[in-house]
Amino acid sequence: MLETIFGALFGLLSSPSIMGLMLVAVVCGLLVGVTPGIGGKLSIAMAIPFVFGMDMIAGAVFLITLHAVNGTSGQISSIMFGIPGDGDDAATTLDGYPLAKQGQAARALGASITASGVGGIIGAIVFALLIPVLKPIVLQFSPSEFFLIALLGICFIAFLASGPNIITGLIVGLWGLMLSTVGMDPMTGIVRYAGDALVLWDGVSLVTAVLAIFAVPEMLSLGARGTSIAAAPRSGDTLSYRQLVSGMLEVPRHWWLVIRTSAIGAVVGMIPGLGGSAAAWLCYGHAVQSSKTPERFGKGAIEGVIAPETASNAKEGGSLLPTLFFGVPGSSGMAILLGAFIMLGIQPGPTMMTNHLDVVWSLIWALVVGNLIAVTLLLVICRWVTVLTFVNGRILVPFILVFISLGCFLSEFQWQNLVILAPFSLLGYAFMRAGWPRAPFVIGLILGGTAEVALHQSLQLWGLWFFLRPVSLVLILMIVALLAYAIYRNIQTKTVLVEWTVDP
Amino acid sequence: MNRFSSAVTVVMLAIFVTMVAVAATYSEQARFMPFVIGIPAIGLCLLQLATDLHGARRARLAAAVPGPGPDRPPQQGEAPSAGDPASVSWQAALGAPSVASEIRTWTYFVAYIGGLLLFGFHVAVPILVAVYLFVEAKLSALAAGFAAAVFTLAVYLMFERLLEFRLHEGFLTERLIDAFAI
Repeated sequence: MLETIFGALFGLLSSPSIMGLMLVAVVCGLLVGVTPGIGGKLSIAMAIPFVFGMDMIAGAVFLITLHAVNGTSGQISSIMFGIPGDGDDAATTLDGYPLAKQGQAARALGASITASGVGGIIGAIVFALLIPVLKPIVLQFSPSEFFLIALLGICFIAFLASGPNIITGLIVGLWGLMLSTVGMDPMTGIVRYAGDALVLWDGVSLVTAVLAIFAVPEMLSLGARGTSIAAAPRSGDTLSYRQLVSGMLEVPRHWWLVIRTSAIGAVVGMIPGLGGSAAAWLCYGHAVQSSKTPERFGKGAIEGVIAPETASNAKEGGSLLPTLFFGVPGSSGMAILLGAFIMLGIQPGPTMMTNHLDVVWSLIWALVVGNLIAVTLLLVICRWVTVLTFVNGRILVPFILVFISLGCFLSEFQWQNLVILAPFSLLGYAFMRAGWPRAPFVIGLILGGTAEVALHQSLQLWGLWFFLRPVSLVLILMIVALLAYAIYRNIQTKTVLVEWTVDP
Repeated sequence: MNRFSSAVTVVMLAIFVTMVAVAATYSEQARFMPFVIGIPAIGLCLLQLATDLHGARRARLAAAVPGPGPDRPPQQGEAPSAGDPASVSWQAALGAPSVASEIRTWTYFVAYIGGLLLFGFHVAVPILVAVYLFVEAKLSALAAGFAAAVFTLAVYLMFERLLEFRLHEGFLTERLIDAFAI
């Protein structure tokens, strides 16, 4: 075990090519993170063409580092201009921007960057500590449990991402599952829905589908909105290194808060669908509640910057757990990352614990080392990086589009994937426009093949009674309870709406 | 639930019905999974449509009764209210895109994919970058052309030379080169 753990670290640190790739990933991740509109999803989408054909570990380390450091620089616009780069950074604005207006922007940035890095490292440690605990549980799972895990994953994400209306999430999840049936049937060898299109005999390209459903709609939305945040009010504050250091020192000064919020963030990250926003707001609330002087919050309390930043980066470590061991991505960013992992040859599931633990540890160390490099680098360059927040979104659109099309083509070297990209993107855009969640689609598509084989195996082994296995029963109860609660919540929301409209 | 969402439900219903109908032509084992997924999915789409219709009827009834008006709570698919934390993101700060700008952006995308298929990466990439930067991002013709040229060169050197990948050359490019004997 120790050999695997430290072998992975030694493998990272002793390989100049991997360390070089990590450095490139950190720089790209920080620059992309600070640019409004390009979140973790688009950065991974843009990176796919570059990792194609790479060694499995090198490619995975590059992608996870890129994804992990994205959030570290995302808070710059929240603090400097009061406009968060994405939802994860919204909580930071509440106290970060008032601090900037008081002339303490550098202090807030120093604290948030350091907190973000420390949170990322603690999140990775929490994930590492849970591996030996989870191993015996995951290895007990039989085919019937894997089929039910796929259903539970879809229901869970549909529930968390759809708001009061779970049906739309379930429809999207089932659409992903349905799409996974395209191609050769694993049991009979009959080709389904593919006709003479050889490219579809192995199924719909996961990378193409994920890019179409997530990356293209985001990019087209960016293009349609355009403009930059240049019109935002600026604090007018210059960043002094003395203030930056004093901000960094705030993190060890509030070490207990940092550990608590990191742990909460990592646990929230493990729950698929909750995401960084929930982690950040939850920890912001926790910081307010646990403070002896809660009245300072919202007016420039440094704890209000530290707590959400630690949590939103700590969740990256936590969200690796369902992504790698169950194939259930914790967030939409993780979904694209998972698609890229599969392209690299990393198959999520219990075999990650038995046969590929070295890959898991490499990813954990990549999170730790990547965050350390990111924090050091960003503290030095943050005063210049802020310029990027004024980049006009429209300038980026054609470049991102080219990288997306390259990723789509190179994933299988098939031009047909470009044809598939267009209609699927239309559907992804329609989901986004209609307010439907898109994350359940990826779970359905990724787990569909496994779920089908698992269902057939379960039926052959236990017949229809496979539902009565103890672990299966627990999973079924969870699915039923989840759906029942979703329906109850739906009815309650409607009742409130009717009461509100009819009886003002 | 807005009308657009209902239209998406109808599209999804059509997709699921078609896929289940096609699956019916397969052998019993091969159609098992598509049926297990497709039939509940059709049921869910119908349930969603019924919910939308019911919601629309309720909304009409509610509209007839005087209500508090502008303070009504946001519904799914709508922009969050100003008090909502999510509304302070940069997207909210920029406002919702207009339909015209959406159509324009989609036209670029579809034209680019078409250009890629017909003329390949080496032709479609510089044209997309130059035209988009000039027309949409309002860069000068010189700056847009320069950015397009540098970017295309970088893509060529990175993927074709350094990584030795063979990018799609387009169905018409070679024919055109032959026809004009370039």
